[in-house]
Amino acid sequence: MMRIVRLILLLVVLSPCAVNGQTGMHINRVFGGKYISDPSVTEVMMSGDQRFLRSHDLNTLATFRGASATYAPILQPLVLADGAQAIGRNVRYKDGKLQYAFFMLPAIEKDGNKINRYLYYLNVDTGKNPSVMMIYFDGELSRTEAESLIKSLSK
Amino acid sequence: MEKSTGELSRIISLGERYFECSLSDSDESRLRDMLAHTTLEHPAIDELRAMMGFRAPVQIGRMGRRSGMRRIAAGIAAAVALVISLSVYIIRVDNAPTCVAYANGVRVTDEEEVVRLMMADMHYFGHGASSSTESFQTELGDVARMINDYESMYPEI
Repeated sequence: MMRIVRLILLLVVLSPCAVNGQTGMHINRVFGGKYISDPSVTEVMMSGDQRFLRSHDLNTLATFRGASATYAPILQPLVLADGAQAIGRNVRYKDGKLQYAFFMLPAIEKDGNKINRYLYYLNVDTGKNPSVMMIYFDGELSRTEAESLIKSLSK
Repeated sequence: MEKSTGELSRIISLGERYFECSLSDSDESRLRDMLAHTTLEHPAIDELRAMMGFRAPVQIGRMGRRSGMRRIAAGIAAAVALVISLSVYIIRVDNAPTCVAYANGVRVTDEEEVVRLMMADMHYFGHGASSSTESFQTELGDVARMINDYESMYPEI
């Protein structure tokens, strides 16, 4: 009987893992409207069958932006924890703080398709409005396509 | 057939003596054993079992075992149903399209507005990332100049 219970618990725990690339990531802790009461925060979460995502070959797109002083200490460890598993990276520190990071995370398989996952981080702690920002997206796009996408979206 | 008739007659004979209270302890024990193990069905056997307190415990035992098995089967069925329901729910939730933004303390679900907010943030990111890259390149340039200066101080061997 205990074996059955263990099997059931394992199934319940594992079943969501196979579904979404963002599932189980550390950065998820800041999403879901957790900081909605802070007007400096902007959070966007898009997944599934969305026109915008379809047009860019994406499955998921999530962005988070907030005041650098408040959110850099929160985001930096989460991004670095997820980035520890990365298979490609471009990381820059300034004054002992993470300033810019790009991580290509290990791909996952969904419905027989290879889903590549990308994580960006930027902390601009100078200027009028010092902000920290994080972008996560996944889809079938390659690293070059991901970089082009970021460039095209940020123009 | 003859064996069954013989067994039945022995049970009835012992039973009659049981009702007359003339059974020895060993005969009573033998009768109990026969009643417990016989596969024969006869009103006299049922009556004897009832009188000797057999029937109820035997039935309860059978019912208990049956209900125990039923309970385990029902538990497994319920657990399987739960797992299937949870999996379907999780898959549906995870596959369900999400389009939501939080800005200025407000929850936004209109796709156009969500995309507009995202693009604004992306623009900010692009500007910041290119500034960061420029400063990185400047630093790299400085380092390259320093190396050049250092190397020019010493003649090539």
